[in-house]
Amino acid sequence: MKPTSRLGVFILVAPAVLLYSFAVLLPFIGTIVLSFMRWDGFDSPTFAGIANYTRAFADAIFRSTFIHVGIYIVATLFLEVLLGLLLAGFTSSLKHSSFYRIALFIPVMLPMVVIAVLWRAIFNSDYGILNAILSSFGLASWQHIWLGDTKTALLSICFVSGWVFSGFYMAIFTAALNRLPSDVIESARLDGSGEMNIFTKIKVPMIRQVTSIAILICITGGLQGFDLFYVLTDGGPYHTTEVPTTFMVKSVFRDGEFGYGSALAIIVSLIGLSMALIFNIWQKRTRVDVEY
Amino acid sequence: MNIKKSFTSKSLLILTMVLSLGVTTACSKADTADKVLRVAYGSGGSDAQAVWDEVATAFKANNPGWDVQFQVQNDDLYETIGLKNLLTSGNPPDVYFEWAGARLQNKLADGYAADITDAVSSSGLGAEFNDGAFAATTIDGKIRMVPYTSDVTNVIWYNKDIFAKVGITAAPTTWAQMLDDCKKLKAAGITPFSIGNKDLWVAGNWFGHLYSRVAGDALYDQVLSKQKPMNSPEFVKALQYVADLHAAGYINASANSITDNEGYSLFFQNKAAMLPIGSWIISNQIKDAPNMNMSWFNLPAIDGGAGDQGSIMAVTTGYIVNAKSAKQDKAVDFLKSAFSADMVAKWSAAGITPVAKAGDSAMMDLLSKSMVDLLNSGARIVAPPDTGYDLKMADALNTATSEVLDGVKTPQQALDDAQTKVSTQ
Repeated sequence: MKPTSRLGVFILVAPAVLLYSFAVLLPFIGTIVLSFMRWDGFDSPTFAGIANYTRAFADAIFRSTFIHVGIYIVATLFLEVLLGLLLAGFTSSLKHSSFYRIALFIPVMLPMVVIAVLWRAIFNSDYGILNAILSSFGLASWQHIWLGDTKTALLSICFVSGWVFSGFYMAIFTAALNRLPSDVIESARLDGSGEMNIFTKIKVPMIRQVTSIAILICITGGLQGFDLFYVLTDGGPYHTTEVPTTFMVKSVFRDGEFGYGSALAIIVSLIGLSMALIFNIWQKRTRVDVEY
Repeated sequence: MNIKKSFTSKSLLILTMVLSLGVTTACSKADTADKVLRVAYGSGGSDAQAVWDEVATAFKANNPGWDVQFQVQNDDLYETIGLKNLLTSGNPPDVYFEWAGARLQNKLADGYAADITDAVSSSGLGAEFNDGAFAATTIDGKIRMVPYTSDVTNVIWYNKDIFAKVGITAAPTTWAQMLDDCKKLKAAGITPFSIGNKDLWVAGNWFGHLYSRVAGDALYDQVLSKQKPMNSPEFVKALQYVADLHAAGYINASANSITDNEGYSLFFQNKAAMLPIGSWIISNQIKDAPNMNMSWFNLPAIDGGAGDQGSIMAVTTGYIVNAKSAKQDKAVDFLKSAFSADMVAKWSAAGITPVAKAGDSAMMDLLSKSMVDLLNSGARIVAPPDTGYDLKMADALNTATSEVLDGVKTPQQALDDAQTKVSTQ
C-alpha cells in the first residue's frame, strides 16, 4: 500500500519518530549538553567546558572501573560463553535433554535483583550457606568473607554472573547446533570421528558466526553490568568491584553531580561503541564461509 | 486531492486544538482541585508508618476535603538523591524530612525551606515544644524546620549478660578499660564488636566521634568542612586506634561486607558483645530481641585526646515546609497534628522519642529515657560526618576508615588517598 501524500507518510512515521526522539534522541543530546555543565540538580547549570572530562580521565577510581569491568568481561567469556557452549554440546548429545536445558535456563528467567539478593545471603560470611556447607564438610579453613575481601569479591560476582548467563548462552548455542545439517555429522561419524572431535572440529567451527555474536553480547553486556554489582557489593570493598555503571550512578544519584555523571556516561558509551565497531571490523576480516 | 489534503490538515489542526484545550482544562482543574498534602521521608519502618497514618487521619478530620499523600523512600536513597528528585519533580512534597545542620542550610540556600516563624506561633504548633526546642532549626532568627527527634547517633550498646559472664562488672569509661574488656571477651571466644558497615556510615559515625575526641572538635569540623587536610597528623593518630582494633581482631571480620541490619542481627543473636550504633536500635531491640538485657556507654575517654571527652554524637532531625509549596499553612497544620500530645505518646510507643514536649519520660522505656537524659545533659554535641557535613567529604573519610578497619591500608595511606580524592573533586 503506497502512501498518497507526504502528510500521510508523516502521520505514519510520526509515532515512531516521536517515541524514539523522546526516549533516546533527546536524552542523548541532553546528556551531551549536560556533560559540559556543572549542575547539582537544584541550581541553574553553569558551563564547565571540558572540566568534567579532564576530571574523569584524572579520576583514579573511574579509571580502575575499566580494569574491574575488563576482568569481569574476560571471566564471563569463560564462565558464560564457553561454559554455555560446552553445556549446549553436552545437552545436545543427550537423548532426553529437555530437563537439563530447562534447569540450566531457569536462572535466566529470574529477576537479576532477586538472584543478587539470594547470592548475597549465600555468600554471607556469618550466616551464609556457602560457609556453612564448607564447615559441614570439614573445610572450615576454606570459609571466607566472600564479598568483603578484595581478592574474592569480584570473582564471586563473576561466578554468579556465570551461574545465571551460562544457561542463556547454552540456549543460543543449542539452537545453532540443532540447525546443523545432520548429513555432515553423520558423514563424520561414518568416517570414524569421535563425538568430541565432531564437536570441536565440525560443530563449533560451523557455528562460528553465532559464537561471534555471543561474544559481542557478552562484551557489551559486561560493560553495561550493574544490578549484580550494585546489590552484591555496591562497588565495595573500597571501590574494588566498582564498575563504570555503579560509579556513574553514585556520581549522579548519591553525589548529585549531574554534569560529571553525564560526562562519564558519554565516555562509557563511546568506549562501548568503539568496542562494538572494532569487533565488527574484526569479524568481517576473519569471516570464513564454513557457516552453513 | 488538494481538497482532501486540506481537509486532513484542518482536521488535524482542529483535533490538536481540541486536545490542547482539553489538556489545559484538565491541568487547571487539577491545580484548583489539588487538595493533597504531600509529605516525604525515608522509611522508618511499619510502626512509624502506622503513626503517620494516624496523623493523616487526624489531619483529614480537621481539614475536610483534604488528603495526605506520603512519599516514602528507602532511607539511604532518601538521604542521597531521593529527596532531591522529589523536590525537583512535578509533584514536590509540601513537607519533608531533613537533618539539621549543613543539610538544612543547603535546603535554605536552594530555596526549599520556608520561614515558618509566624506560622509556628499563630497555629499553636510552638506550644507543643519546650523553650529552646527550635534552637537547632532556627537560622538567622527564623524557624526553618520543625524538630522531630534528637537522635544520639552513636553510643556503644552492650549485652549485659555477656559482660557478666566474662566478669566485666561495669561499663568502661576510658579507652584503655574498653580494650581490657575486649581482651576478656576475645579470650572467652566472643567477638567484642559487631558492625555492618557495607554502606560506610556505621563505622563512619562511630569513628567520626573518635576523630573528634582524638583530633579535637574544632579540627574535626575544619577537616570535614574542607578547611584543613584530611591527612592531618591528628586524624592519622585517631585512625591508628581503628587500626589497633582491627589488628587485635576486636571487630567482626565481616564488617565491611554486611549491612547495618545484618550487624544488628549479630548482636541480637549473641554473636557479639557490643554494637556501636544510634538510639534507634532501641525499637529494633524491642521488636527483634525483647529479652535481651541491653545497656549502653558513651564512647570512652581517650587519654591525651584533644577533643571534649564528654561529647556525644547526635543530630536533630525535623520536617521542613517547602518554600515553593502553595499549601504552607496546611503543612504547618499537618505538623501540628503530628506533634500533638496524643500523637507524641503514639510516637513514643513506636520507639521514637520526639522533641515535642508531650513526649515526657513517663511514657518511655528506660533506655529511651536514658537517651533523652543524655541529650539533655548539656554535653557538647558532635555532628556525624554523613548528616552534618558534605556527603562527598563524609564518603572520603568513611572510605578511609573502612580501609583501615579491614587492614588493607595504613592510617597514613588511607587518609592520603582520601585527601587526594577530595582535592580533585
